[in-house]
Amino acid sequence: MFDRVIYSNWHVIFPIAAFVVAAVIFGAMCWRALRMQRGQVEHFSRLPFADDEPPAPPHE
Amino acid sequence: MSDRKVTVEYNDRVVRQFLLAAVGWGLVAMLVGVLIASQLNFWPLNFNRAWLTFGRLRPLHTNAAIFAFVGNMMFAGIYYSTQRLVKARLASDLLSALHFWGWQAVIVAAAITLPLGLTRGKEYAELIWPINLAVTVIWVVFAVNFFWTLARRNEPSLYVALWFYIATIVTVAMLYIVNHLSLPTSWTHSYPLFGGVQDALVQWWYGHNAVAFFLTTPILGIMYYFVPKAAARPVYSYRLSVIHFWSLVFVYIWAGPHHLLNTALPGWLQALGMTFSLMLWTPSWGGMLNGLLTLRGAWDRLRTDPVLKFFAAGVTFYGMATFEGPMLAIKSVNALAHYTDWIIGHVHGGTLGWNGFMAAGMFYWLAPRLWNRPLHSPALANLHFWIGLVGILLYVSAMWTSGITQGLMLNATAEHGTVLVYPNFLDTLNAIRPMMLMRVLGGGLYLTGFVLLAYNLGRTIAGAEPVNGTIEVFVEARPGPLGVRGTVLNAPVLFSGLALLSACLWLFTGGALNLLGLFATIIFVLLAIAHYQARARHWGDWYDRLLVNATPFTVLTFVAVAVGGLIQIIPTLTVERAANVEDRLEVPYTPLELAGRDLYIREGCYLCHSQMIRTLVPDVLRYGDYSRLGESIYDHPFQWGSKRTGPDLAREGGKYPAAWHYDHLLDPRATSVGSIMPRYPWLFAQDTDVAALKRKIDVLRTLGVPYPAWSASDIAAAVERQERQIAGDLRAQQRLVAPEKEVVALIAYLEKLGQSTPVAPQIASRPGSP
Repeated sequence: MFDRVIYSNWHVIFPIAAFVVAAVIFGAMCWRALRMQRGQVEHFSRLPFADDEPPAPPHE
Repeated sequence: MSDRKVTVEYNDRVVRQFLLAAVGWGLVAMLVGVLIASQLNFWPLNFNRAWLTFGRLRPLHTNAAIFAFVGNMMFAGIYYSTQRLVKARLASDLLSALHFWGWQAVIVAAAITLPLGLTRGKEYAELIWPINLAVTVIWVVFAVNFFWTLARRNEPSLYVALWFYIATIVTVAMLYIVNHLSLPTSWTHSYPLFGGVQDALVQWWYGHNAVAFFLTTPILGIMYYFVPKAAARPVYSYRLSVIHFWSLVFVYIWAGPHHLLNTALPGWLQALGMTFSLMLWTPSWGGMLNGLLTLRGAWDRLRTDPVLKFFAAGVTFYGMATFEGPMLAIKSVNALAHYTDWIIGHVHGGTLGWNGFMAAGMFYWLAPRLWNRPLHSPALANLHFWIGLVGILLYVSAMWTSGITQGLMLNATAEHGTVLVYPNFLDTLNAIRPMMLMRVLGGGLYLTGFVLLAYNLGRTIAGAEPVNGTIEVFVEARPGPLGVRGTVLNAPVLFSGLALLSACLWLFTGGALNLLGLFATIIFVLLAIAHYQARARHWGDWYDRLLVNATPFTVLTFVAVAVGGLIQIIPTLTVERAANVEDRLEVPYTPLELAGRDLYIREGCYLCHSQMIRTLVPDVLRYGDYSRLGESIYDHPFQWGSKRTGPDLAREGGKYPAAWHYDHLLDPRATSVGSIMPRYPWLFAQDTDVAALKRKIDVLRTLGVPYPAWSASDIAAAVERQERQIAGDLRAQQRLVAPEKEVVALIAYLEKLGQSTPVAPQIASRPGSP
């Protein structure tokens, strides 16, 4: 009942290649993120506050 | 570095437009939602009008909620935050206006065509092909406007929110185009390129990633901007946000098959979908925790600030939905939950809790700033929060109870699994009626909350003068663009590529090449490590320049999302269809049956009735032998369905005489006491569109359905023969109807369901097997 699909052997290259690509890029990005300098982290996390817009008018 | 000082005025007009449109369309979406939920309790609320039936209005509700409400809200948030993060005005006022008015025109077109029954018959992809083209054009306008703004930015660094917006734009484009590939048969009708299992896979690759990249990633970007702003705290962990982004865009794309568990979808795809859905729990909760912990030090403000209430609850519902989703993707859990109201509860926990509450928080935060007027009533906003929260909890708990009840009852067997405990489907319907009513109450409360929001915002902006934000910037010298050379010809990419090629050589070849591949892989990995140790700064410089270069970043993001789609879709599309139908092959529809099938799609029957008997004992006991992959291979679009408000119809053909179907369509309660199905009297009055069949059959033949090259007169003659035969059967049972009426075509289709040709199954080949 579960022996249901025939797929040609060459198809298996796709999931394996995809796994490898995913693992390599994801691993590289994680490594870089974990190794970010403190100053860089501070700079990026403060970007939303760099617009020096006035606050909203207060509720009376 | 240049010291030129420039004053930038932001284009907040388009932000205000999108905000107001989101509020308006949100009310429409929720009102339609409450109506259709009420119809499930009180069938007379279908009013015997074709354009008001559940089957016609449910797509209107889903499209309005996703594309009109969340779409407009997303654009408002993206345009507001992007301008401020890049310290530049939107690149083009013309494109901004085109984007806004074009999107509203698409919504209006959807609101007109969907109730008229003009549909492609695929969930969240119902709009007919001319509107699809319009959506594509508007999306390109949006993309150009966004990326052009990035190109003109005065802040070189790309904050993480912008990454999420980039991922949204490229991925939605890819998903939308692929799932909407169709061949038109007329100005208002088309057949998708894919059929059967291929269409199922493409549809749910699209469907789940519409959730991912339309309902999640842009709102996460909005979360990463607006929550820090509202809390006056930087994001808890920027490092975590980077890891969150990359893991999410990689993993999400693979999760689509979890909508097709225990079906005729190949097992390896089901396993991939389940595994990656479970893996998705981690990045999702990383994002949730990042959002919630951003509120550290500001928790006391939750007591009084409605914006923070909505954001905190919204992010919490995100966490809840992204825990529930992976659990539902476990095959054994899914065996209970699929086709039941539990899935509806899961969806609405996400849309009402995550999308709706993040929208409300953003609206309440934005309106005072965009109109320079304090919020009319924070107390009313707080009341909105509590009413909305109670509404969500009522809705979701009702659907959990209903879904689990349905699942347990429908799957209950006795006598060692040989008989069903509840053989009558309507027994489950009667059991869940109180929960369905509670759902209406919950949805009604949620709608009430949004009415309060609309009133509050209306009072806030009435008579107020809109303002555009401004900022003074020093135009900074920017590092030169990376270009193709810089992106590709550098150590990180080259070493990764060479290692990947070597690994493929090792995995897919034999003998000497195999050994060569193994050694090459080890050598390249060692060389990469050594190069990194010696030249870490070079690697770091490349990565840092990637962070400030939008184009290479966009390309890498696209690669990340395309990878998951390709590995699932390419094998399924290229698989030898004829060799993979197991032991049954679908018999192509006769012309009259095809006309009937298109009526089935027009009326939205697939929204309540599935056509996929799962590989589960209770399904087989209730509906017949499990559905083979080959039995739906010529269905363009596929009709496997995703909900069983009514029973499965995969083997409906031959179960009942034509007179039963006649009675059932005229008044479902005549054959099924307690049914909530609408009446369809117009099917007995309207004539079947025979003239359209020639073009439809020609298109299907182009798509691979083995029709002969029939002429229009051949088709008309075949239709007339079959119509007379069915009308004659009905007349013999005292049911009088003219043969050319639509109900005859629909009966022809229903009587065909389950017919197939037995074929000799081929043996699955495995590596190493003889």
